[in-house]
Amino acid sequence: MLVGKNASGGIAYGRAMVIKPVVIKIENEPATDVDFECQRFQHTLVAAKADINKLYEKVKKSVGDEEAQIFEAHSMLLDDPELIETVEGFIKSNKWKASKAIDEAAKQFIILFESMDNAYMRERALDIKDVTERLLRKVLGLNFQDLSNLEDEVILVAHDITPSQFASLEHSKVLAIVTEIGGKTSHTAIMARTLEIPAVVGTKEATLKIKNAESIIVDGDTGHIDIKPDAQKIKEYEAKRKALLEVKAALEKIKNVPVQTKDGFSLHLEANITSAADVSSALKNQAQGVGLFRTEFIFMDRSSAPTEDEQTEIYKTVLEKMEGRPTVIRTLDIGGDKNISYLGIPKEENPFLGYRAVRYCLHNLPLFKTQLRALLRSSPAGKLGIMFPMITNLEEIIACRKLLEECKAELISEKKSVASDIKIGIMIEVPAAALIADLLAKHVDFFSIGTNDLTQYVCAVDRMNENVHDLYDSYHPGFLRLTKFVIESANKAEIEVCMCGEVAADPKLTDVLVGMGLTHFSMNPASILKIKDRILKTDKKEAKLKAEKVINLSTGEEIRQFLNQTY
Amino acid sequence: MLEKKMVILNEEGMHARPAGAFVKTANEFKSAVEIRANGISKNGKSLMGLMSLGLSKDSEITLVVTGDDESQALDKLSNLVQNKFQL
Repeated sequence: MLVGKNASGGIAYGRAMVIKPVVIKIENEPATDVDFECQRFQHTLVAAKADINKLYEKVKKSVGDEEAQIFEAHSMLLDDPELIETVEGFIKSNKWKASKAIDEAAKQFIILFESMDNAYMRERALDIKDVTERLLRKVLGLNFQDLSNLEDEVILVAHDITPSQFASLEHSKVLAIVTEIGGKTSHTAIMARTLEIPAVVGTKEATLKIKNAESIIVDGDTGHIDIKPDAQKIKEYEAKRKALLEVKAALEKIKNVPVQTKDGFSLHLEANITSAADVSSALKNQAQGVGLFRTEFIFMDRSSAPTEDEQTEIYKTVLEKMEGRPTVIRTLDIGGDKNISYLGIPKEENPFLGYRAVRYCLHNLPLFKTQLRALLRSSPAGKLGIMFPMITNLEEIIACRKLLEECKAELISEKKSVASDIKIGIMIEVPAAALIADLLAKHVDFFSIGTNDLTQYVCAVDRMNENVHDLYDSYHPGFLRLTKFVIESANKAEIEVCMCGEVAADPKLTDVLVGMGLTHFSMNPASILKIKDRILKTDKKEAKLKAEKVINLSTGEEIRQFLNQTY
Repeated sequence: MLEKKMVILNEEGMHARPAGAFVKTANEFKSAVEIRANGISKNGKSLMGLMSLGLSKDSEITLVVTGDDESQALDKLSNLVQNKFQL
């Protein structure tokens, strides 16, 4: 058995198609006709460009705009005079054949970019590799292993699948994908999730251990791969697949039913997203809004903060795609376990108790104001809520609101339009803030309970510390009582209250939370229908009694058992 | 031939986006566009060329524009650099 990272859920059983990298043999002999070699190169450029444009259109249609952009960049590289002049220069002055000239030019640029002192530029080397390899194959007449015309359904097993290869796949014939490298956020993983193809990545030696045409089972939920499974394993697979399909079919049926309890109370199911690309899966799962857009991912994997224009564009895109549904965007929540090198946050003994989120932002005003201005500028595109994370006291709320007003005044004097109906809210994740929820409620339009952090702070447990992580428990009556207080305070002040942590997606707690008075749930899009199913089966009056009972049990374990029995 | 000395003002330096904006603008003109920095000269109509200069904030550059529409080109390109590459 092989184990990798579970990059895209679902299970598949089928024949493996192992893709071995093709060795490219460069023509080292001198060119006999320099003009002919230059022409060869020019033809190659035209042909490669046509291929890339086709891929661009295909990906744009089948996956999405964002994923397609990489091919736009590839196309731009093929037009690049520097690249063209270097290759032609090599052909003419060194009397090299086209393939040798392309290969040498590619090496030169790749070395140049790889040696740059910033990660962003180093990653561009990969794009140059992808593009120049395409040119090399074209000029040498080597076929790409054609994955666009698969006759039978297969499970693809490869060292890596480049975005180009993935895009050219005939997706309906691909049962699952296994790669040797890559993580959950690689292009392959993201595209697989969007297309709902099970995928396991980072499986070292997959192409050595799995032989072509061998049957394998790929479990995208656990990351396990069974090679040549026995009858027992196949039976287990069939049972699991059947169960998955049944659940899917059952959930599919409730897709268009309004979200309300048995006794008619309407609730809101919203999505947590990290990029504009996630909006499509949110809408596919019938999210009624975005309860949490985590903006820190826009700041990661780059060497400097995104500019005001860049951010405005992203927020605008999300708001537009949500077509008027409420969309809550959280300001930068950085620090803790999420570090960004260029922000220069010093290493801390207790990062979770340290310099993070608004604590950092309120000390780094240019960065914070850039984000606030971008949020305000994007606001006319939809129904925006701005949420501040890690609020500890009222002073922070007042400071954030004051800054926001300043930014608004600036923008208005610059004649830029800002929506008038922006909602302002805070994350409730610090116990001190939760305990004064009744006081804070007068100063904001909504609360969002961040259960992951609130649990860890209430239980005083570092989740990453193996010696104590058992104490981290969202079933702890202390946590549930505090949650109830926050929800009730919001309801009393008649402001919206949402929950956006993992607890919101725990089906065992759904009725308890409804009983406490929670009205908005926000979670990863894939969990929405599961929670909707629970809500449809809940009676609010009964749920209220159940919630009352739960918070009077003395231990997390008792609560767990009670919830298991009544689930 | 027109020349102008300038300084890169935007925080992130000459990354793909600013370089892309520069290349796009340079290609609107017939004139040849060159960027010189640290004794190296690169074609201002080449994304790879510009990015490979590895320019960061405060880098000094010289714009060199040669051709029929050189004065318009230099105006527009120097404005672009001045405006931190906002098109």
